[in-house]
Amino acid sequence: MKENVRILVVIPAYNEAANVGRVVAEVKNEAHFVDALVIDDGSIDDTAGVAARAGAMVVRLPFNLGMFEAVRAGFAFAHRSGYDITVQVDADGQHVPREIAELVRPVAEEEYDVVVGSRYLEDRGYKTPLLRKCGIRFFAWLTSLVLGQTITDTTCGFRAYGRRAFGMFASYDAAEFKDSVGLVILGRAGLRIKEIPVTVRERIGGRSTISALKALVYPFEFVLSLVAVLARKRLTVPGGEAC
Amino acid sequence: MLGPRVERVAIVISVLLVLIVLDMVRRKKLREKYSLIWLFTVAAMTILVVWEGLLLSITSLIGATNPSSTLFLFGILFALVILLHLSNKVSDFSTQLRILAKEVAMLNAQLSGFNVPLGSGGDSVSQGGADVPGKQGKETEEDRA
Repeated sequence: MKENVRILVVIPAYNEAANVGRVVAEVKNEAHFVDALVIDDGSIDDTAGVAARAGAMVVRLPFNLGMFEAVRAGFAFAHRSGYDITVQVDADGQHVPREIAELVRPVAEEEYDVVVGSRYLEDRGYKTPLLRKCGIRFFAWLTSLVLGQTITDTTCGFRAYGRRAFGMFASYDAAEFKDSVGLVILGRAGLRIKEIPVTVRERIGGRSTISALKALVYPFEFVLSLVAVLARKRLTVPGGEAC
Repeated sequence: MLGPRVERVAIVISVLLVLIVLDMVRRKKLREKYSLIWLFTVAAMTILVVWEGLLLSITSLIGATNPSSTLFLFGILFALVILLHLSNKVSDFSTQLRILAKEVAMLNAQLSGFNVPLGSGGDSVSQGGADVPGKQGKETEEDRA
């Protein structure tokens, strides 16, 4: 790994006071070479306080904007503060901070711009409900088709981004950057994407934020976003860097 | 056929609408920009009601049997256009709102040195009161000190 690479771990958190402290502490212990930033997405519990006491930097959104906008706020922060790499880690403790080093390495060595954690690249015992698995397979298939590169897990939030990649999230206002449609945008802009296997744990506490209605609407939203992205002009990497 | 009575009713409604719109512009309740689409709608409907030849030819053009259907069709079409225009504005506003919210959050964090203790920093607009009430005031005072 290159010297003096500044890495920011972005942890979007919405009412995760029960978990976020442990997650921040684990990130600091297991990946001492990073800074931790918690984006409190308008929580009504003590998420911001817990995160701050655990030693993270905290940005509090004035009201709930959704996980994706919280992540983007973190990326904008990282971009302005001159970080080289950002790592997105969920606040619910499902991701394993020890794997951050592995996730970051291809970006730090400047071989890739985006490294995506995949639950399915290697069987590490993560169990997905059948219906959800079908959905993820479908999204993965479609994303792979459009990108011309095999992607096995499109919704995993454990990812590392190089400066050019997270800079795009920060500069362009397009809600479609979400999940794997974001990968499509980055891929079309010429950025290099790599998937590596990661371990995803069961949630430590609390409940998943995905509601039944959202799960029902999501496939339609996904396809619509994908079509919209493909119908638009390719985005270019800001700053005019050739790639 | 539209009777003369219908015509009079339509004209009264149109005149009233124009007056209301102009008055709202005068009282700055409606921007000039947005008043135009309303005035245009009213003008178009009035023309259709008054100029019976035009209404009848459009009716036969679209294959409707009753001229009043043509009027309703246009009324609904105009309403749809205005709704679409409003949805477009709401989308713009929500984009701008998201950007502003993030900017405010970042400025707030910057002001408090990024390590935000309980209750200070971007106090939420909608759920501000839901933080632990006892501690909140105290910590905020410490912040200022």
